[in-house]
Amino acid sequence: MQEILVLAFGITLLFASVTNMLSSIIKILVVQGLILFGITLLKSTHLNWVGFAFIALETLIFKAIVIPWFIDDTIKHNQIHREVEAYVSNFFSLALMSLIFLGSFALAGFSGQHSGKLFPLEFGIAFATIIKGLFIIIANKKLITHLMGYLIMENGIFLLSLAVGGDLPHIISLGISLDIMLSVLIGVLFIKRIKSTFDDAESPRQLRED
Amino acid sequence: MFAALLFAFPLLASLLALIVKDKRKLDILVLLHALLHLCLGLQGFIYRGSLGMMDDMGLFIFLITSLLFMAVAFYRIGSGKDYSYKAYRVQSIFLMLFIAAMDAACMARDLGWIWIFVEATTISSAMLISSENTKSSLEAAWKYLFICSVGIALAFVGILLLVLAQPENAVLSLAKINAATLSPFWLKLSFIFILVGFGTKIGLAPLHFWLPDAHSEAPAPISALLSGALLNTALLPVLRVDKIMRAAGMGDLAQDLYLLMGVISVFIATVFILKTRNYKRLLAYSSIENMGLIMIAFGAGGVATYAGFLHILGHSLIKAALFLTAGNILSLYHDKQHANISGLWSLNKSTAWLWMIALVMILGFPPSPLFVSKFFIISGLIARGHIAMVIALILMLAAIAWSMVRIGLTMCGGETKEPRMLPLWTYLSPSALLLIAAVVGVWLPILK
Amino acid sequence: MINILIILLLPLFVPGLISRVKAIMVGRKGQSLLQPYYHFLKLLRKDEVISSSASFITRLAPSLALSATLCAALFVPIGLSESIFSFRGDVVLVLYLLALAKGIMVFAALDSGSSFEGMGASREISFTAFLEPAFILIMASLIFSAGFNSLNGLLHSYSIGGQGVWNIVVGAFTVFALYLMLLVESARVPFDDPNTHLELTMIHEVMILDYSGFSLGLIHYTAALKMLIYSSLIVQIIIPQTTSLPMLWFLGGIISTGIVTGILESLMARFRMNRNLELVLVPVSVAVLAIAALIAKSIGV
Repeated sequence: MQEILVLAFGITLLFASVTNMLSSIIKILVVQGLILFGITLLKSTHLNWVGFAFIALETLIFKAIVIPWFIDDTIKHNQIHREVEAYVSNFFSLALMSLIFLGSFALAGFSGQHSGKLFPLEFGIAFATIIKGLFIIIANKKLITHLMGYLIMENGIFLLSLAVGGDLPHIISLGISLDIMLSVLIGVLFIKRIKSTFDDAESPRQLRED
Repeated sequence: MFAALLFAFPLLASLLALIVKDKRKLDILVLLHALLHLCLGLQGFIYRGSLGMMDDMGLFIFLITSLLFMAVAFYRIGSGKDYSYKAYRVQSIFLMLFIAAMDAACMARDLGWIWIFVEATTISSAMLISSENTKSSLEAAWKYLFICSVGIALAFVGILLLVLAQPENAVLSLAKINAATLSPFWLKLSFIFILVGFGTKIGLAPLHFWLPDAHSEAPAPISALLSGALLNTALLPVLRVDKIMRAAGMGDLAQDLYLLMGVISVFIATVFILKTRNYKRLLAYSSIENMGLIMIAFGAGGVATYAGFLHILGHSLIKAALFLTAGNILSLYHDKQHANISGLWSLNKSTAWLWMIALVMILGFPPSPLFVSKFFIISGLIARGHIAMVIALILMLAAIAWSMVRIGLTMCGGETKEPRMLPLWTYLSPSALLLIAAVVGVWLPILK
Repeated sequence: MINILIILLLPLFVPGLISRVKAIMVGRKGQSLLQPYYHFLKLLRKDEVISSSASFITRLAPSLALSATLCAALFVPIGLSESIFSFRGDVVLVLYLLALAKGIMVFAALDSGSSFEGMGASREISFTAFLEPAFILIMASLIFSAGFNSLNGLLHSYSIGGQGVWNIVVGAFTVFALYLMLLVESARVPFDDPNTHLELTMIHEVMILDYSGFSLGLIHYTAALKMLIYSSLIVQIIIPQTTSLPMLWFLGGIISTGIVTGILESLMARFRMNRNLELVLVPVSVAVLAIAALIAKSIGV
């Protein structure tokens, strides 16, 4: 079951490569949040209500509900054009995604020989997610898409922390979630303020080296 | 006990600042915080170990932060009238929180906590950069927040990989990691991620883009703290992980990476210093150059390691003085393009003196401590046999020196209208910093 | 024997079924299910016109394509659960027989010297460039989980109803990728429209503009046969291993594939031409994910 969820996570990445709409990327974020919630639930064998509250807060509330809602709200409020407008074609990003999968799984396969406590499938998908998030950030010109790429990357990191299997203290993972939450909040705030000072909230170009 | 005060005070004071209705009172709160900070720093310096968790490296950075914070707190008294009350209050609150986050990052000995506090410095300082609320400062703050968040996320990947490198019962507390049992492959990978991640915050190439924007758009006292204190705080985790690398017998790899990143950073800084037209950006690129030099110092190893620490100290003090002086120039001319500025000498003699002396000192002319440190860095490199790198480095440093002195002289020379005075504090703070730097620069070689 | 009969008789049934489903979906009554057969027989009785500038390739292509596709069909378990021929590694032979059929048609399109046909040929071949690796990767993932065997043996030792989660996962990926390949290869709607009349947007149809009469009949038959091959691959993966009525399952599977395709065609619009290529890449990516996941799994703890 866990493995199917992890693979579904991988499929969302493929979907992120072929879609052209901002709203579908938000949906991807929601789905990823739900999948992460499922995986965490399945992974933690001993679960008291405090642990459950932590997990639900991190994944379900933050990742799957609050943050996508913030972003959706920002898009609507600032009248950001609904298409993604990447620098590269979908064909290229899909081909690259396949290469990223191959590379990540090669690393995961290699890792199996060096560390006994790794889950290669999760490691591969998680690593691919991180790289994909970076790629989204590099290959897009809109601020809001950068934010989404960052969130996808953070989801990958979350999955990686599950794959590593070591028990990170809950408090640290909560701290990290709060961090992300705060940066997204501030980011959204900035986009709103940028919108009110610039005519165009999508990609300001004031600071340039002349 | 006192350490608890270090965090309790700024939290309470920032709450208090919400109800205060007067700029003067805000100044007093910040000054009290600075005073407390400096006292604690000196206490830790004189009675070693009295600050609990603080180790020598952390204490060193903590002291530098104390000095700069003190100078900045005084400088703000003089420059407060430039801001609206609301902007000034936001600035004061987040300034105290920013300092507290940096202190926590210095003190923490657990990688997870270090990560959280470094990220906290990003968030609080992003608010500081954008406090003027202009188009370009907003964009700079966004860029800063975003690139640093990405960088710090990469660092977290590195931390996770470090967990992976440990055979069992993984810990993140640096003292408890047993370097002998780490898996070399994962340690290498983890170190690369940590270096690139925190390197983003240090301002090293290839993820340095935020630095010139943030430093040039932030208000002068904030730029001084960003350049003089924040970059060091971000360097600290790298140095802490470096200890693990050494213990695991991979110090050579780490040093090669430092050299590579350092040289690339110095190169990029040189190119942009020759090109830029904005004197605050000039200072920002100079920060990239100096952080690059510091990395080269740690890369060269041996005696150059000590030179690296000396360089951190010298760069922080002098660069902070430079940014404060640049703030003076900005409030005299309201223009950031140095091509539009001339006649500083006749307009305001003290600022012109400060500007030229600080420029000359950041280039490493005696009595600057940077003279000593650069000398030892070069000799460390020669001792390791990197002759080609030494030649390239000297050429680049010469180009930087030529460019900066030329810009400084054209700004100072020429005739203008009536002389104008600025508040006293805005001269005193940078001169105090320069004085300390000069004393260190003279006293240390004698000590040797 | 039954297999050969099915291979010879069943193919033209599927296009008829699809157009019937489409007709019902839009509220028409639709043509007879046997209409493609009448059309085929009519074409076989007709004379053909061959361009005076065409070389022997134009004459050779339809029959060569048909025979290559027929040979490929002999290796695929169509109908009863056993294919007629099989040997270890015949997957590669099947792949290249299909490629031969496609290649000769592309040559024939170029042979006509028409710029439209050349354009169609270039589009068709650029699709193939991505579908072939997809096919190989899909087969590789089946081989990885079931062992090296003939195509027949592979499909037998593997089915979605088998034991274990991974069977379902790989099966689902494989069916998904194969279905996309079916849509592309037999020129169905999201990628290509067999009913289009604008040469600029055609892919498969534009290649055969110059054909008429007997040859055109053969080409229609070949296309239908290719579709049957892909649908039987899909059906064979879905059929449970332990069934007493394989024939019934098979026919039911083929019919439901046709119905699904018909419904899909009525619900979806064609993709924009410049987005086609990226969607053709989807099967490759899915296949890569499937096999990479399998390998990682097998290394795992």
